[in-house]
Amino acid sequence: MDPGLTYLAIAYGAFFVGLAGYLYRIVCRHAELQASVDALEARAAASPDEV
Amino acid sequence: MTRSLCLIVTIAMLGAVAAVFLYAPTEKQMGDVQRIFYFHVASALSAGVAYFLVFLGSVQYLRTRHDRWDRLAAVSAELGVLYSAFVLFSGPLWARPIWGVFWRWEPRLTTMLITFAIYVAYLMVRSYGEPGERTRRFAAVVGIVAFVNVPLVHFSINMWAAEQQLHPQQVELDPAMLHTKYFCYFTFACLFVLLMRLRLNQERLAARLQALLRLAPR
Repeated sequence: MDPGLTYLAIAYGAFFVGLAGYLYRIVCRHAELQASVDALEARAAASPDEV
Repeated sequence: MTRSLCLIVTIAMLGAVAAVFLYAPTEKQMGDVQRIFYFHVASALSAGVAYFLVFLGSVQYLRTRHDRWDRLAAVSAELGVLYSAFVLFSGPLWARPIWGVFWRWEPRLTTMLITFAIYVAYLMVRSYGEPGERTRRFAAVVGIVAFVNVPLVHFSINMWAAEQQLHPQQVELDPAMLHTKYFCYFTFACLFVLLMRLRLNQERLAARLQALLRLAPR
């Protein structure tokens, strides 16, 4: 097999795996932040005197 | 808006992969490995745009002290480092079968590696500095100074003698290769906007959380 094809597969494979990982990280972090913000806002709404 | 952009990026990415592997002809001398070129160059271009946005965000932050400019600089630096990492990873994979070595200290490679290291340092300044105005100001100065290196990467091919270069000073491409290259630029531009949008939304949310935490009783 042409060794160039192996390098080609590694390069494109790494690009898509890296991109998927980065997007997954963004989505997870976003969900965490959104949950924290929602919880704090709900707490603030329940007891407006505290905030 | 973000959903539409996701859809556009997915379709464009599928189109780009199809163009790279099915539409673009095989380069006669280098063979299939030359197909790395399309994503490699588009990534390098995206990294350049990202670094320019770090510069712009840093200048604007120092002028206005608005947090949104600081967030733009921080997110752009992160994207620039990611794109540069791919450039520095895919370049040696392309080089190995063509030049016989993964790496040589020639102008383009060296300046790109230095730029990457500087922006990694920029991100470290942001991560390890105490959160606050002082760190943001310091990061902005680093973001401006770091940009000096970016034109050096671009012009390194012409600034040093041809004998010192492994990168070609001029490239002539088949029309199908040229179309594929421009389509990859378009795809990477869409991807860049999407990632930027997602990360800026996330940073805005993080800032909102910080504000709520400051207000909340202990």
